[in-house]
Amino acid sequence: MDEELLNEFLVESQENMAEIEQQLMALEANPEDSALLDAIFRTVHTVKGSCGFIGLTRLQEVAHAGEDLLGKMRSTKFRATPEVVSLLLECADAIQTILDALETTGAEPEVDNGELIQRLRAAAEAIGNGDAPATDAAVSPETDEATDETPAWLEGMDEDAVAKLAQAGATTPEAVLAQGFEGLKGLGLAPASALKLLGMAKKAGGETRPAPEPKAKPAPAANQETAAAPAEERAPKPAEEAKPDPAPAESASASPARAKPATGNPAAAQPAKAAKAPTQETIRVSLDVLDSLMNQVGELVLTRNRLMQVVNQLGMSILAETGAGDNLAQLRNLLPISRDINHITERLQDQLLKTRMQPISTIWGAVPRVVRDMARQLNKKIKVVMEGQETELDRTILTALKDPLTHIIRNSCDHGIEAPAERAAAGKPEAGTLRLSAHQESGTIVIRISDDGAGIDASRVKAKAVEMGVISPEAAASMGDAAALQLIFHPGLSTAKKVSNISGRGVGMDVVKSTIEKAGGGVDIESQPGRGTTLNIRIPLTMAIMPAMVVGVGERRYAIPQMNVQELLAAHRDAPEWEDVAGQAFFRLRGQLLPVMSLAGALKLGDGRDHHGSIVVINAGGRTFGVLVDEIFGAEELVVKPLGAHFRHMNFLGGCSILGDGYVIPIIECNGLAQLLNLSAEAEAAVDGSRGRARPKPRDLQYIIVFRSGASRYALPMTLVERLEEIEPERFEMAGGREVLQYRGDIIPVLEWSRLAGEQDAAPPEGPRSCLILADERKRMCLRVGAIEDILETEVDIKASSKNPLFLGTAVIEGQATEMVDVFAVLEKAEPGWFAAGDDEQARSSVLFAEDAMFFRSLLIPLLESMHYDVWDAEDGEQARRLLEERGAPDLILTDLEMPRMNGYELAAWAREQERLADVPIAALTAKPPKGHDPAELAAFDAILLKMDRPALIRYLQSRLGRTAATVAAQMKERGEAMARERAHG
Amino acid sequence: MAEARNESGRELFSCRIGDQWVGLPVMQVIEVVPPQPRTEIPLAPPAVRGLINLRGKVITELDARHIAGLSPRDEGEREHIVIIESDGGELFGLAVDEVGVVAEADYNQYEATPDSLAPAWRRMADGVIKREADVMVIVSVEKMLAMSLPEPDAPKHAAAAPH
Repeated sequence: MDEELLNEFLVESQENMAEIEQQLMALEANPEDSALLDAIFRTVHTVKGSCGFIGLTRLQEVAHAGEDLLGKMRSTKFRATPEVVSLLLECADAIQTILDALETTGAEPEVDNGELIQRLRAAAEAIGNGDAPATDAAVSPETDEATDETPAWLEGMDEDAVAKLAQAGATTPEAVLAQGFEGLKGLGLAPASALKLLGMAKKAGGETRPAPEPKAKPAPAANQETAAAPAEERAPKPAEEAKPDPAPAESASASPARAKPATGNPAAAQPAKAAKAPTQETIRVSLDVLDSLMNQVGELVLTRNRLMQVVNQLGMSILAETGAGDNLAQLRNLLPISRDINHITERLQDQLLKTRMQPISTIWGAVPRVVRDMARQLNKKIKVVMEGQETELDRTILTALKDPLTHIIRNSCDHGIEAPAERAAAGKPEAGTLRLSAHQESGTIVIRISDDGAGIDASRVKAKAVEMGVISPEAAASMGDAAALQLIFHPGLSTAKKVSNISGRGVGMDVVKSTIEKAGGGVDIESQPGRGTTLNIRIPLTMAIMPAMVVGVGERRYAIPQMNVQELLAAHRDAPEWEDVAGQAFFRLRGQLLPVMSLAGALKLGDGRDHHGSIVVINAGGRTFGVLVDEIFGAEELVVKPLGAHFRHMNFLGGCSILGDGYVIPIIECNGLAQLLNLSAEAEAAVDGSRGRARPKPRDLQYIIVFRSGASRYALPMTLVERLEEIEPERFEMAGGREVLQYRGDIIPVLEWSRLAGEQDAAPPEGPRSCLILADERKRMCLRVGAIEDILETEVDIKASSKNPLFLGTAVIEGQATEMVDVFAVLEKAEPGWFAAGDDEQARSSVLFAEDAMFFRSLLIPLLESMHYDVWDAEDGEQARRLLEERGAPDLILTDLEMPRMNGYELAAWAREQERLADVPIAALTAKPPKGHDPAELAAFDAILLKMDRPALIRYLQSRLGRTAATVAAQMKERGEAMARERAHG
Repeated sequence: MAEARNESGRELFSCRIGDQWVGLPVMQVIEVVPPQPRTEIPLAPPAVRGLINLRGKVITELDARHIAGLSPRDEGEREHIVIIESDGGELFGLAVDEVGVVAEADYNQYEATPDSLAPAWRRMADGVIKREADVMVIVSVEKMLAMSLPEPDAPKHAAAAPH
């Protein structure tokens, strides 16, 4: 068959069919909308007519059966029932399947629609037999062909075109041929239609009265009958005469399907002529053409740059040689011209980029249908609400998102939203709501899919995860609900046995996640049992264009994706913030030590020791670090291009781009860059070592409690503070010449801080007194203070040391001089021998801690130390193994999974082979639940803990190493943190 | 397969690398351009000279002399960039010293790669064409590209970072 005609047919049919699904659903909602029914009928009729013309018999059969049914509905004014709509949707699907196959293979697929066709016919017959509540039941089946005004040879042409031809009086093949292609276009016909018409006219021209489907193979007899009969009846008549409402808009519209909610009255169904106005004139352009255009524009930019350069040089030389005169006047003309070219080029580039963008409605369009079908199948009532459909995304990303979205939506319908009765019993409206929203947030698009269904019970997810061996029972016990919910993305859970045939519970959620991640995005889930579930997807606006920070190192320029850039810092060579520890450069940023790598050093462009320039603070791979560069040029939107085969192994490069001046700029992949830092981080051990173990010098951020007594301000670490109490004065008692307090079934000593600190005795304040209950694993005491001011997380930088053994020294906290209390000294004073030498050390549990990332080291080592554990600190598995060989068995091993030299799995496997380590529990620390790992490998671990989930970590340590006052204190610290957060938000 | 292609009589594009004239299958030669401003990529394989912008396409430029194990070109010495296309469809720039002509290869003069040829040439050769004064090496683009790629088992550059 004629390939060009086939292509024209496909383009047109795909466009028509794109609308039909929504139209059918709109019809279901408004069964009386006859205009809508007309529109649907026309679409199917056009497909049927055209395919007969090209000789697509399978397609013709199914389209014909659908057309018959629609015709009957029209003629009998049948109110569309959900059953009939379902049947018609099936018919539309069958047509779509064949169209898709035609598009890819060029031939009709081997599909058997016999059964569907039977059902369509049966339905048509039932309606025709007066099964329908129609007044006009006597209408003969033949009249269903409402387009009998169309000349026979024009069957399959859309009515708009026919109407235009009729207007021009070109209703015969000869007349059409006489018009020619340009002539037909002149009549307002689309080029595609014009071409098709010419083809039809040529064919028809030969045989004055051709068979309606010249190329159609003989169809089964019954079908042939119905197909032929109406054709005979069709007498050529001017189009307008019979039909008051030509309503040509929808079928000819070439706009991408702009999805509308299933409910309501879609604009597509309104036959208003105004709607067809020349607004949505679009054509199809292949992406290849756009990409090549993009390159051409890129070249234009370069040429523009050269022009600008020449113009500038010219200006210089003219000025130098003649100073003034005609040449200068010429130049004055040249300058604005080149400036114009500059602006035009920029606009051109901008607009071209936009051509790749499509509204998200192009993929949401299918949602109402999916939901409708599922709801019917599941006997549920589900409403779809869509917000932000106009949000635009790069086409490539849209395509990638389609399947994950469908999957999530099916999950929501199947597992999320409950059956109507169940909902009613729970006091919810019978119809569940599925809400899709999309909006732009800086450079990313946030897509939210939420339902108001049953929600997900985190404890059940945990139980499942334990059952499937994804996490250990201990890890489950210590895992927070929010973290537990994310487990549904774990492949181990996702491949769980199928629960239903619609969407197996969780089937493929891992695929959903990995697909989204591949497109450069991320996904997480929130759920409240009984209230519903929300999935949040973040995705970059476009993969083709990336906002990036252009930085300079020497003569070279590099781009750092804006997504990873946290902030920019100026860093002078002699800035006081620089700290150089064992060869590793650090920059003190708001109290925290930020490891800094020089980009020149990392890329071997120099010695990298020059602490000068600017620091780009990068967050990537779960850590924050600084990258020192010479210069920051600013932000640019880059068109990302892939790198060739020679750079595949270089994981610190993510691609490249071309800057406006034609310079090829490499784009840094920050996760890969973070790995480069990793290896030069041996210095970190020295930093940790220099901190000492006996009594950790307050460093970095810690939780402290600030209190006031007399005129002075004091602070002590929250470490040993078990509780804060307000205690009535009468509860303090004297016993054995000392002040004591009955506290939780214990009698504990009470110390008056002002006396301890040697302050002038002032009259004790009236009313309840503020007290700190200090405790370690064996004893408690009460420290009575003036007034508790604050609990805060801050850096404690002790400036001046103190002669008084009660104090560590003076620190500036929140701008005020504050005496740092040595809490150990206070305890010692309250109870001489509180820390019996050795006793304490014996009581301390040892924890081997292996972690390579500076970020987590600085986060977790202070925590472990504050819990009074003896921390054996290793920077990688290899170092951990050496420590274990040297020191024997600790009470617990806590290890990161991904580390250089020897990773956590290898360390655990090795430890499991050591007899003396046989009883030592090994817990894995990970930023994310591990995936793609052999359960056997994970089995070596007693627990898998999330690094950021500190409460869970504390609970786990307590469960393994026993609950001590110090660990209680650590918990207090967490509580303090929560309080601080609340305050910050309040 | 290389042999089979040689039988079929094809055109070769000749160019000089150091003192050696080589023939590249003309089907894989896109064009010859003058040296372009290029962006050097740190830590890239040594045969890679950098990235060039060829009318909006980013192309990896390779140094043919380095691949052939020759000393670097002297400063200021003329060179040409031959744009070639790999079987996989990726474009490369190949810096050579001189470009010759496109000529129908005379396969009567075709000989299997002689052992006397320097090892680097042998590795990339699909045979040689005997000419009046010398031999021209028929270079397989794929073999030559393979030689320019980093060794698969070479230590990752990351591991070479200072400790």
